[in-house]
Amino acid sequence: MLRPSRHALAAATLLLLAVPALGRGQGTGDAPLTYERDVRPIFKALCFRCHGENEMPKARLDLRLVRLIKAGGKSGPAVVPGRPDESRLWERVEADEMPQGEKKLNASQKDAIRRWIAQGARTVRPEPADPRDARFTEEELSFWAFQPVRRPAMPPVRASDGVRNAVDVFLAAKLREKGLRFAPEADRRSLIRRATFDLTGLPPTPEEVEAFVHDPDPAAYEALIDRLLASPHYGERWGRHWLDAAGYAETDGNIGRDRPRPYAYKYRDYVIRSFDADKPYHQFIREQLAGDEMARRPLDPADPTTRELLTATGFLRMAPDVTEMANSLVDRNQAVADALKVVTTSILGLTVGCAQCHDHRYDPITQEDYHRLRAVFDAAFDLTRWRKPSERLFDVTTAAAKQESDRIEALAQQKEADIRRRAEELARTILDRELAKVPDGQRDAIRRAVETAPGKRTAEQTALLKKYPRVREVRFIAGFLVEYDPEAHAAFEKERREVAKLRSTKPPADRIMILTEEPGRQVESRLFFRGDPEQPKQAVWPGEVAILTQHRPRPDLFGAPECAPASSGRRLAYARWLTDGAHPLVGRAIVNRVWAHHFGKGIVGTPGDFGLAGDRPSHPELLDWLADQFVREGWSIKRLHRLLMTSAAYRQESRRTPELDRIDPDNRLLGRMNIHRLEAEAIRDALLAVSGDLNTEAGGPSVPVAEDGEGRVILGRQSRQAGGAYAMIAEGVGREGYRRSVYVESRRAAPLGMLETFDLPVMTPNCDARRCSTVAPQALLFLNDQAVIAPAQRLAERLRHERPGDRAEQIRRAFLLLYGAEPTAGEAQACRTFLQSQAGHFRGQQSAGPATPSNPEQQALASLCQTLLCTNRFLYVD
Amino acid sequence: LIEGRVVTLLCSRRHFLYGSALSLAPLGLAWLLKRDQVRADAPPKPEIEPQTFDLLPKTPHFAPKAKAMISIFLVGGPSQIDLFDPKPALVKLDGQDFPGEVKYDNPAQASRKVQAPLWKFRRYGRCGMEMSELLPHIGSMSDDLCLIRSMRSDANNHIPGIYALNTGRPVPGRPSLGSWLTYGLGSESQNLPAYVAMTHPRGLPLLGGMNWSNGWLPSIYQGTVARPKEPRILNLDPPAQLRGRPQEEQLALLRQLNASHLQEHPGENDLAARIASYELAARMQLAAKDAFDISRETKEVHELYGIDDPVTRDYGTRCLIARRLVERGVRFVQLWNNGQTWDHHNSIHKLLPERCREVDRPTAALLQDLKARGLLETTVVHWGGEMGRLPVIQVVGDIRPDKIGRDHNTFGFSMWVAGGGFKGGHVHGATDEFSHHAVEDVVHHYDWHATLLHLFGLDHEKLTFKRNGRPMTLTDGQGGKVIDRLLA
Repeated sequence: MLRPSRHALAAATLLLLAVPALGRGQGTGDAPLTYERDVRPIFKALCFRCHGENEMPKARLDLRLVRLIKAGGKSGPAVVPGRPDESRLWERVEADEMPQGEKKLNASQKDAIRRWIAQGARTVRPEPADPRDARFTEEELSFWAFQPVRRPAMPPVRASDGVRNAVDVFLAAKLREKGLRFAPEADRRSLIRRATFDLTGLPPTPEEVEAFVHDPDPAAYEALIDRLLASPHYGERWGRHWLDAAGYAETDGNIGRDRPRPYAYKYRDYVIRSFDADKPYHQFIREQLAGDEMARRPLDPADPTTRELLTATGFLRMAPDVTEMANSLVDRNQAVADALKVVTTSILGLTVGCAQCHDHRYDPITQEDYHRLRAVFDAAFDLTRWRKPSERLFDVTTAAAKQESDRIEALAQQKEADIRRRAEELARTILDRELAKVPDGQRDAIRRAVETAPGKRTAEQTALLKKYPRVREVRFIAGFLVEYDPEAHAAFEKERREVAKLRSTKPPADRIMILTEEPGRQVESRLFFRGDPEQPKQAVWPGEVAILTQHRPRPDLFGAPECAPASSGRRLAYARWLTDGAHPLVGRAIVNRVWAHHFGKGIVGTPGDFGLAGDRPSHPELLDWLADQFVREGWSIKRLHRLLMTSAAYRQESRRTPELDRIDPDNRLLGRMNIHRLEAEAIRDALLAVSGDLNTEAGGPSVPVAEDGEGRVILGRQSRQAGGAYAMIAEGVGREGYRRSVYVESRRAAPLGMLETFDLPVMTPNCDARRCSTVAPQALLFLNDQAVIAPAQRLAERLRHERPGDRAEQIRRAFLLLYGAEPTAGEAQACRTFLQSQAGHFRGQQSAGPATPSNPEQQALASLCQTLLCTNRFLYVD
Repeated sequence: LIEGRVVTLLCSRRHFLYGSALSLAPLGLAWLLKRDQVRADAPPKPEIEPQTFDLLPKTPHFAPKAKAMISIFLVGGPSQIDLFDPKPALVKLDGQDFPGEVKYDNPAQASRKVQAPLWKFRRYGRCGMEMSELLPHIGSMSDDLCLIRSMRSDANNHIPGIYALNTGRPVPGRPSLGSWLTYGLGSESQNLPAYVAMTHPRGLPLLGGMNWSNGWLPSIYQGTVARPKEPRILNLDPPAQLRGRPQEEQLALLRQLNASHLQEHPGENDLAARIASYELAARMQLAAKDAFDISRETKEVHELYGIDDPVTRDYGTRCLIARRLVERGVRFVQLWNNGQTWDHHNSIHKLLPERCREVDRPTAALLQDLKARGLLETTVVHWGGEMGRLPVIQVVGDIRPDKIGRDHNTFGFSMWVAGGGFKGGHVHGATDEFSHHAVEDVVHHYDWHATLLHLFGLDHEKLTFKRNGRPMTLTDGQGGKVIDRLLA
């Protein structure tokens, strides 16, 4: 077995392969290739489906054991040890005849197979008699992520290591092995900018920077971290990170019409509140998985604790669910599968969802495992008695509001009935008029025909009416008055608009998106053949993925008894099992997530996949130590921040050196800090902050997004001009438009243009790590878009206001606002020259064309501000 | 890149079922992503290598005749009875009861009174193609036109009709024709969008941005909107006050500030890449500016396209820009009208001639100009709407004779194509004697699509995109056939 430390050394290069597990072990020198380590993972990913997992392997060839491969299938032995060219398997693979699908083996996979055969088709150990016993190999079972968290011994420390806390001890030891050490501490200006963006997603104000830079207290830095952790903007920043993992979206995800989820924001606010309050992570997880089962019964909408617990279950309602409009069994099943995927990738850091249709291609997770885990949720996601999104809302409207609403509704209905009655009266006279136009001889027959219900008409009557298409039933005419009597139609429409207006005065209903079970209902869970809900097979009991229970007794997930009969209690039992402190993945997954947001990359580079296809930890002992410490210290995320951010590692400079680049080009060992680009939300929020526009109003319904008629998505309320859907216009949203990005509506089909350009993820169903692209549209946005030009103009206004009449001071202030640092003499000079020459251009424009309202000097200042916003210094944190 | 790949594996195995596939390119510049990696539709099974998509030129299935296409889409449904499909029987029956069953869309306004063509038909060109006197300029190019008189979609309203003609099926959510072509063939130009949708000064067409949606294809295949006014492509052209020197000064200062920042962070590739992205952006602005700048064309060209006449200025300008785009390697350009202005339920006397005047001369100029430059051989020009109209009168409120109109007809209508391997001077198919139903050599929308892809060297059954493990096509198993008799 490979030791984790060897994985770590190889990790930097392995990451280059998207799936490091495949073909690993080749090229490692003369060590002979073995089936279990080098060949089986390839077969498992691409071949077992037809040659092993099905009851009758195709061509009777079973690839699960070397013994069976040698025995071969219909065409005789598949492999002749030592002789690849005489091996049928090699022939077929080399010619790309196998595998049969579009996916073929790549050159290094083929090479591994050929060399393995050439070396004698070896195994590591004798093979079991029954291939079913070879479902998992020892290599898989002993994989690091499936072992319990063990608090490791601290590596020895040397004075020269420059460590500040335990985190550093682990990092320094690894650096020392490579002859490296931490970089010097960054200057205070860099530190406060780094820490402020990290914890609040906003830039520090110039005043905050100066206060920190000149603070004589040796504990000034620790005080800074404490101040930031207490900031109300902390939850907005870190809540957003969790919302990525949870797949937060405010629409259902239908194709065509992406149906809104008007109450989703309450879950967003719950997450933000939880982070602000430093809710212990185990409690946070329990509430989200089983808040309904923790709440007091019967559910009381007036009880704040009940509302909070129910709101938390919105976590299980975030995945796409199109069943409001397309409610087939397949659509329901997809909604459940997506919800489960969110749970497993976010909390476990494991892609259990890949075992939905067949055994997991990389990890030792069986299809039974998947369905056992799914059974935990089946009572809430009952496919046979499905509840659509609109049926999963909990009404928390107050009694007084309800009463008022009922009163208005009754009045509106009364008015509508009256309009209907009068319209039908009119329609009757119109019908008489139309009948007057038909030939006298036929009139009575036509009248009888039209007054007969359409289903009861004789063929003759139907044929007769076809000749007089304007002669229709009273109902029809009443509905089509727009054609028969446009004036009357207009008058009725006016009345109807008044009724609509009346209805709009109802106090709004207040609801929460929740997940609950149907009280007392017993749900039988079954495994679905090939993941197809139309083909249920054997019954399965709720249970944890087996590989995660190999070192402790399997949990009883039949349900926490105190939940009966209102709910099965399965989710609560599962949530308790996950958060009892001994689960191999839960602690590791969350500390790795927090780490990744601070250091730019996780200790495991794939936060949503700790499995064999994921990244290997760069510092497995540190990861375990942190996971253990996190649990010991009460699952406090804020304590974890403090620990990580007060380390010497976090406080380092980010500058690269040739030596570091040579030895550790990806900086996995953290011999310096990583520089990183701001995320989409932080870019927009920073623009608002420096221009002085930021509206810090927290929580509540989202700021709406709309299409602006040019096909762009901007902030605004959609309204339709008379004439139809294509004439959409967006109305402004005023001060709301300056709220933080976490409060901007998250529509799956229409992400805000500015945010999407900077890699806002689309939730399908969630996102584990954002990508960070550098593409031309981002540059074009900063150069030409109002989303940047407008804040630049307001920033210029702010400078004029705060430092009137003094160019040098205005430039200096701009640098402090944007970068937290003074301009150098050269930079200041370049800016002054720029202002002069730009003002000249704008003066020229004014004399040439119609006068613009702004004066040339101010325009020049705005154009300087825009340029400063375009700089890397603004967009990156170092 | 590494991050991108990992994220691809983690985040988007089943991408495009939902979400940004439908997004209307929030900045309209999705094509600039160049390589669309994360947005790949991935199969339900984990892939070992993520799929990547780009706009580089692709080799078609077989040798193509056509390389580019300009489509003039006339939303609303131009009247084939008054423009393209002369029927002596209707003249005889004018004002009488229609002898047979009419498939009305709106029975409340229906009448059975036959309305003869409101304008005269003439024979045009050497081929003697019959067309309305309302389209004299287009008529003059009839020897290059392939007129199909037997179109049929069966989708009895505008929205399903547009979807059928423009996305292959009368349902929302599918990729548009332009997206399929750019997906299959890429683009000859990497500095301009591969697929340009040109909108009308009076607004967007019915369905707005859905008309150039990439559906579930990766978003780089989405149409980019070219606006009827400056800046033609949003964000690809600076706002007026920054155009020219002011923005050059900004870029110069930016270069200087970024350079000194980079010195503090030697070897930081991300920073260098972002500096380069500003240079690239500037180059793209220049390329777009050049392509859209019709002041570089001669006075004669302006006159040819009718740019000097207020009536034809808009279509003339857009047709000329379309030609300039195709010249520069853009694959697909589509011109749209606003709303559904070819939907003449009433006042067809007044409205149809108005619409025809706007497009007649510019369209003919486009054909003539492409031909003179040798581009017509490889460029398909398409002119048509999503339906035609009925041979009987429709009455909306006002029954005065000059206020009448015609209701929808999707069972038989006309459109024409030219160039790119279509047979010139040719009339294909026929409707019944009243121009109500296509009866002879019927061309369904999926036959039209199969034939069109064929000329681009693409087999409509092989141009597939895998979605949830299922290969999807434009014609979507409806039995579309390549119609050889349309081909030159």
